Amino acid sequence: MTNVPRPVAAEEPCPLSGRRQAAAALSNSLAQFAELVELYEAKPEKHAATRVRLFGLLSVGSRVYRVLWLVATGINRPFLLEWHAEPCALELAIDARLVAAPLSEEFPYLITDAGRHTINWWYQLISPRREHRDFKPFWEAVTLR
Amino acid sequence: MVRKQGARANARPAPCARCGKTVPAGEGIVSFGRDGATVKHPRPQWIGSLISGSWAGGCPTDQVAVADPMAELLGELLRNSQLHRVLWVVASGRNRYDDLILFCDANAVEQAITSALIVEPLDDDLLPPYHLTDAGRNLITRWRREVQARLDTEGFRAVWEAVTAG
Repeated sequence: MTNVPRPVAAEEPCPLSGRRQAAAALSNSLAQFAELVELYEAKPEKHAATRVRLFGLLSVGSRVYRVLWLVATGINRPFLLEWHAEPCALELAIDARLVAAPLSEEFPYLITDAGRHTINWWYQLISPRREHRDFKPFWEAVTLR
Repeated sequence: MVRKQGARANARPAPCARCGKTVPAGEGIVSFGRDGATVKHPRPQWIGSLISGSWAGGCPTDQVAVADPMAELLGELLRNSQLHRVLWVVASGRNRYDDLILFCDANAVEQAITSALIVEPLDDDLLPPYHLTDAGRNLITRWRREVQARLDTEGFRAVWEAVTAG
């Protein structure tokens, strides 16, 4: 009887872990946004599809950006975040290492370097456009108290 | 006979009158009493600036007391307490410019910025406000762990109060 090599399962590409995926998705969406927004602002009436993608990108991330914004602006006590932000977005931000978990009540949530870069990038993209009719809701969704 | 005034160094090695250890030639101070000359180690003296200076001189038995690791740690903590206070204030959410100038020492804030423990706001609106970097967060986390474990030890309570008060 000959030795027949057993069939080997085709190797699947190793999926990114959840937290890396989430962080990558956030920065990816910001990169796409930076590209699309110039296209859209040049001729808004010609880019209805771009507009849809643009606002999709913004609304997908905005809950996480809100968590980052709150932590960055000093609203970082656990009870404040429970009140002002979505719990699942907070969990996602911690899993993605954008926010460091608190050690005690007086030593609350803190933003990491990765989280700081993300929220700074978001701020640089949105802040010049915050008075614009199209972008104002997204600015308020993240920064409103 | 006129004797020279002032302290004189010993010309040859002799036992110290205070601690009994031998003083090498030229490193002790000779004093002339009623029953002859005695040699002593010089008194410990604070050399250099208030912040980076140190004690010099003294008997070897004195220096054992100075080289206490706990005292050194405490001195280090007290020396850096203003810097730690900046990190603590930023970490606890009071990271606006107004808060920092109200609660912290301006020099310590500048030191924290130049050593990349906190970062400045992006633009003129001062938004987003001051943040800890990862280095600063690690530092203040370690500080908190070290000091909170020793709160019962004498002196550490004062350090804790100096940094976290207000």
